[in-house]
Amino acid sequence: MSDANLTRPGRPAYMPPPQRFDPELEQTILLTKAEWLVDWGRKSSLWPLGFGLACCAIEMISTAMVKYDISRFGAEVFRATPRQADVMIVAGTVTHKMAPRVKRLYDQMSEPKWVIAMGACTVGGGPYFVHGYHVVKGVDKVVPVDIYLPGCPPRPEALLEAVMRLQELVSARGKLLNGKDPGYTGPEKGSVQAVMDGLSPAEPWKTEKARSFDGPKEIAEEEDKKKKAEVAAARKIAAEEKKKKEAEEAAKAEAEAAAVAPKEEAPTAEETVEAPKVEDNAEEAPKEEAKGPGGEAEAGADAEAEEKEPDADAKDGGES
Amino acid sequence: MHAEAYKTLQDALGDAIEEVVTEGTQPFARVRADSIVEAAKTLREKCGADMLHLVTGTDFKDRFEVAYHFAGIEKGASDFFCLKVTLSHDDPVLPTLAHDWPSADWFERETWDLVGIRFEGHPHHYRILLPEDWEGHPLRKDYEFPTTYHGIDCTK
Repeated sequence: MSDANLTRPGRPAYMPPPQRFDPELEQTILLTKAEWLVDWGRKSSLWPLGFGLACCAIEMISTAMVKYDISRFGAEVFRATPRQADVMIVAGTVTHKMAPRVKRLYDQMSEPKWVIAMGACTVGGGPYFVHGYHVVKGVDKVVPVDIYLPGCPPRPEALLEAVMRLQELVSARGKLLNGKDPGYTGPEKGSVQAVMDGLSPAEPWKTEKARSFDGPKEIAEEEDKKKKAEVAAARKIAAEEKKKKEAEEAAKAEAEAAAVAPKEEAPTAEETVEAPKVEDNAEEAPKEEAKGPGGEAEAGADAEAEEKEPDADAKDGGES
Repeated sequence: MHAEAYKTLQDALGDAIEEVVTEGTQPFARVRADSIVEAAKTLREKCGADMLHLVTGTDFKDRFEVAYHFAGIEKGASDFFCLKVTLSHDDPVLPTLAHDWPSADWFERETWDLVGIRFEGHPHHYRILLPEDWEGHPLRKDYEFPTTYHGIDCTK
């Protein structure tokens, strides 16, 4: 198992399992790596550069207010200057006129720095992608983007999710430094993928489940098999029932045919009623058909006018 | 109120008024390009127009049209008079209203920026919305989209 799977509830993915020392000592001393500590500090106090360019800014502001309260993630300190900011939340449509300013402000931020592209416009040009002449088709053409946050505009919860993903990214940095890429100096494009690939679990609840089940694949397969078997059995039963029904119906039909055949010579009451109607009132007959039971009053009246057998009324009444 | 104003305008300018349309949702008078300043002045002095609240330009492929919308705030008329000017497609030029009507300043700059109609005598005749090194006027029908702008790919 790789290091990535060492996650435990309440413990970050990048932290090695603690060695056992004297319990008293463990209460007073935290053993860790300086990089981890620095990254922990960084991820817990991401100061955003307020960069509201369009309607997404309203959601960003909303995220900072009490209801969504981005300060739970230590990211409530919206800075008005890039020199004090860690993360640039580009919230809104970036026009070609604005693009050089975005780039300039990004350049003025001190390392390490991150960028969240908030909203459809910054992700890929947004609704103006095809028809606009003035919109940059994605802010990643101007500055490197770490987190893409789609939506038009994204809800505050989505921005919080982006912040959480960014925290994972920030905390994955130490891991990258230690292990895979010694030349790594800061998150770049593609490092999101590193997070997603399991340097830090993108969906911790899934790994939790996997841990508790000890081998989710097998269990899933077994469950699948069970379900399939159940479905197959149900289908079999249904098919058998269908066959039975069909057989019964066929038998019934045969019996009926046998019963009706001798009576055909003597026409039934219904036929005596219908036949003259069609002949006498050729115009009204289709109306009756179209109206169905609704046309019964008219039909009844006709029948009475023609002084038909009392069966006619009875039949019409019976239809309703 | 419309009819009076149009009559006053026609009396004052005569031939310079090419057309008067008093029916429809937006009545207007079509004015010759060189007498637009005079027409606007007449509207202010004799008809009670005290606010120019919109200037727009339209590309009709074979010609340009510029529309001026006037309001009479004191009269309680929010949009009571519209002047239209037809311009040739090759060289659309108009005298500016910015000296008499300060609100025309930005409107005319915008019209120049997006439609490319020149306003002679305008005090700040440069783009207002787009970057100053932008090429072309985007709301023209024959506008060609840029493929790159300062190294930024504009195609996708």
